[in-house]
Amino acid sequence: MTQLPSIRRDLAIALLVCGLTATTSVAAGTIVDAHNHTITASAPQRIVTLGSFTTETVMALEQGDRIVAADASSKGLPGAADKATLGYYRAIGAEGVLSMGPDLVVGTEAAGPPTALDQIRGAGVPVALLSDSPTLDAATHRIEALGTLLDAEPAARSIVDRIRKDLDKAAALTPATPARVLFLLSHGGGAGQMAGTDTIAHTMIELAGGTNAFASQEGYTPLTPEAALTANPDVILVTTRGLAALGGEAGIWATPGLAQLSRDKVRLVSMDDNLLLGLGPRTGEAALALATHLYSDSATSP
Amino acid sequence: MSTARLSTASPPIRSRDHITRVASGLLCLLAVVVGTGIGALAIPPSALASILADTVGIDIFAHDTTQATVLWAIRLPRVLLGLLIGAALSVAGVLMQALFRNPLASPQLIGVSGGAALAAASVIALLPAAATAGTLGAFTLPLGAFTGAVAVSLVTLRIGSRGGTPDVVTLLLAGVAINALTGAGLGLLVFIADDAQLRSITFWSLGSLSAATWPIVGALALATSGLVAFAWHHRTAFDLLLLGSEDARHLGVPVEKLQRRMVVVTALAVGAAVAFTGIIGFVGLVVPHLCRLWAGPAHHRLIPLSTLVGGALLVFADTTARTAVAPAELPLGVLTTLLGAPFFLLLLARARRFA
Amino acid sequence: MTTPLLEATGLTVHRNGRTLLQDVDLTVRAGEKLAVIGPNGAGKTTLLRCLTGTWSPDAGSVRWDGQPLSTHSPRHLARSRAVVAQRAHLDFDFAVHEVVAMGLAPHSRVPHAGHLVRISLAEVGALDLHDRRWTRLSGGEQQRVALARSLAQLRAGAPDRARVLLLDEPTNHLDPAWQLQALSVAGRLATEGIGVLAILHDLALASSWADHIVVLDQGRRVASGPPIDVLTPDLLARVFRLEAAVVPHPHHGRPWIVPVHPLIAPTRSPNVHAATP
Repeated sequence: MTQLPSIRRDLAIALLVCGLTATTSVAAGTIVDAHNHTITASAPQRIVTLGSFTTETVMALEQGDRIVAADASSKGLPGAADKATLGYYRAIGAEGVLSMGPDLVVGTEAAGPPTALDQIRGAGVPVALLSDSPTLDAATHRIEALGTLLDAEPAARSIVDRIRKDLDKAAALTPATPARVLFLLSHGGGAGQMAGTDTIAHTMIELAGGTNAFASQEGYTPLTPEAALTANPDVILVTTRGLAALGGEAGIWATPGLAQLSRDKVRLVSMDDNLLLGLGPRTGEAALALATHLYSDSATSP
Repeated sequence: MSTARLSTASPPIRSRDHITRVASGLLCLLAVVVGTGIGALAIPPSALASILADTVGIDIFAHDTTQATVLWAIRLPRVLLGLLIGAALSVAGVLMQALFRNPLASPQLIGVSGGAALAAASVIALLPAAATAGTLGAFTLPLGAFTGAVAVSLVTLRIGSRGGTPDVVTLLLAGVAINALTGAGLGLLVFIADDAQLRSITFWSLGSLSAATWPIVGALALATSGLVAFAWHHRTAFDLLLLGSEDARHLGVPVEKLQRRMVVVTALAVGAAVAFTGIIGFVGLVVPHLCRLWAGPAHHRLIPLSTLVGGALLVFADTTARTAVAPAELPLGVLTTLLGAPFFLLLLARARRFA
Repeated sequence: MTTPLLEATGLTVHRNGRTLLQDVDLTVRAGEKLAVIGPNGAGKTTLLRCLTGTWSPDAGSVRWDGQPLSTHSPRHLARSRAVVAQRAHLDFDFAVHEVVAMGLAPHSRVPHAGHLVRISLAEVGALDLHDRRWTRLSGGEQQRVALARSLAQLRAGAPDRARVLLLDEPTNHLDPAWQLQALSVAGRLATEGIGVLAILHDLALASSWADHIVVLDQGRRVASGPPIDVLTPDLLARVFRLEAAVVPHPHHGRPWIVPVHPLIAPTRSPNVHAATP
């Protein structure tokens, strides 16, 4: 992903097209998933979703009532509260899933354990694992793949279109000098971690027309005062839960490294976890909201 | 050791032995029946009978293919794995309690679980996600955990020996130090892990039998039977070890060689167990203790009883773990600790009152 | 009856810069009661450890049945050589008869094991302890059971093989009456051809019990011979710093050690319990 607004947008569109082509190169209802398995589903009525973006996307494709069970991370999504819960998506039990009588299991490629998934396949239930790469291309590919599996390709295309439109609007807000944004993640104990490249946060910052202030590393790195000061951010970005875990506004400004940053120059922005980091159907909406926070208003918002 | 048995007991005790053997066998059988019959997917007795009859070609009642698949491919291997793991952890506990001459000892003391946890966390946090994905990747984590368990235990043994001779006190202290080190290493990995990795590490250490497949059952059958055979073969020597190293040697036990072998065999068997299931605590501590309270410390009674009771208890615990919050599953290690720790405190309180 | 069973020659042991034993010779013979005496720190326990093979001497050798000790497997040795330690370290709730039966472990086939256990317990006067729990016994009772275990261990072996009993201060926890009984039990083994070595603290017991006494002082053997030759006022003064007269004991004629410095000032009639002539 480049960092110049107009080239990035064009590239995104090009990749969208590639994604579409890749998906439709096989018969409708059939996809090749992230583990190179060919999955065929015929109008699934009882779907098990593992991973919040899967749940969210299925619901966005107007088939949320066909979800019979979802994993624990999906519980926070509106409309998912009444679904049976399967626990952590990397530690599911095969029998538990099979007891819900599914005809399709869909999740991220990190879902597991692999033996449980094999057992589910062995019982004749197709299991599709979609790439969890944190890029826009992968996100749209996932939406397309789900559209194919659920025989809802038009709905999937319209979701992707909506994302593209929102991304255009976000691009329009970007000034000549993009804001430097530092995203902080918190486990709830300790100083938190900074998002480098190859993270969802990085993608969202870029899509919103900002620059990741901490692009020198891949993945997440524990926050240190030196790194924070070197990053020299204009904006500190957190999620709602992350904000609470870091001790609220007061806690963040008290953190060594962040405390030294000039309050006049640096702003704090927080957004809902599922919206900002979902990288699902609401990707465009999230990018636009973030761009609005960065460039249209200067107040923190929930 | 010799076949001279310590069965110089009087007839009333011999019949009590008999009852114990029968009862523990029945308990195991009950565990298998309960574990096989109960689960997230409803398989009523008629369907169960139908599936079993199907194997010999008899067609009675009715069942659907999902029930049959769940029974043969998921539930039965899981129940058997529970028996094998429970037996392995319990007998390993017996060995450690004989080695350290202390009823509070458990395999954890030689660093087996610490090493496994450290290695598993390393695999999760340091290797790319692709390394643990897919059917081949499914072996990366257990292989790593097993290697870590055995390697750390051997290091502990080395440190706890003077010139090749294990010394119980030094071994104990070495275990304490090694456990502290693996704990610190684990903390470091937790620190650098991202959110998803952290949750995976956590869930691994909480323990689960959900990875049960027939090949894994086969591997554990080998490990457990090797351990139990070793223990049974040396049952008299273990009794003698409790007299103290010198007295045991005076009675003909090759103490150093036996102690070394006990550590290695425990590391291999428990390493194999935790590699596939994560950390399941308290079984190696509570089961031998319970069995000793009932049947006395003589190993010719203790070993068979611990094997059967340990297996049965773990199957009961796992059945609870996978049905209490179905379709989700409770982590098994949490359940065994939640049940084991208060029970253990109860035992201690009782012992103090009678002391 | 004087076949050497266990022979130590020139035993020398250094540990942590100290010399624990220096050039010590000792022989345990069949049917002979040997007492090893010496003040604290003389090296008696070290000597025992070398004799059992627990420690390897830095110089010198130990031979069992003519062969170096190390050439025998522990189990082979255990069939013919029993050791009664000073203290029992067992901390588990075995039944007493199970503890005694542990002495039978080195042997392959022991017919009538239960019977042998009972006999051994009876010999030490502890048959009533048969079904009791080990951890509930007193120190003295545990010592008796440990001795019974060694008896069973030796008795289970073939009577014609070389057999030796080693006792490390066996009278530690026992009251005076039982002290004598324990030694007499051990002594009875000698009449069966078993060689018996006892490390003793009590000089009077050593005198009345042993056929042969070895005296250790600061790691060296300073005397060896029958009691009458070894227990002289000169040796007592030199080694034990004890001012005493040695007279023939009125009952058995063995050396009777009478300390010269009484704790109480002498009165007009010094013999409170004068022996009836």
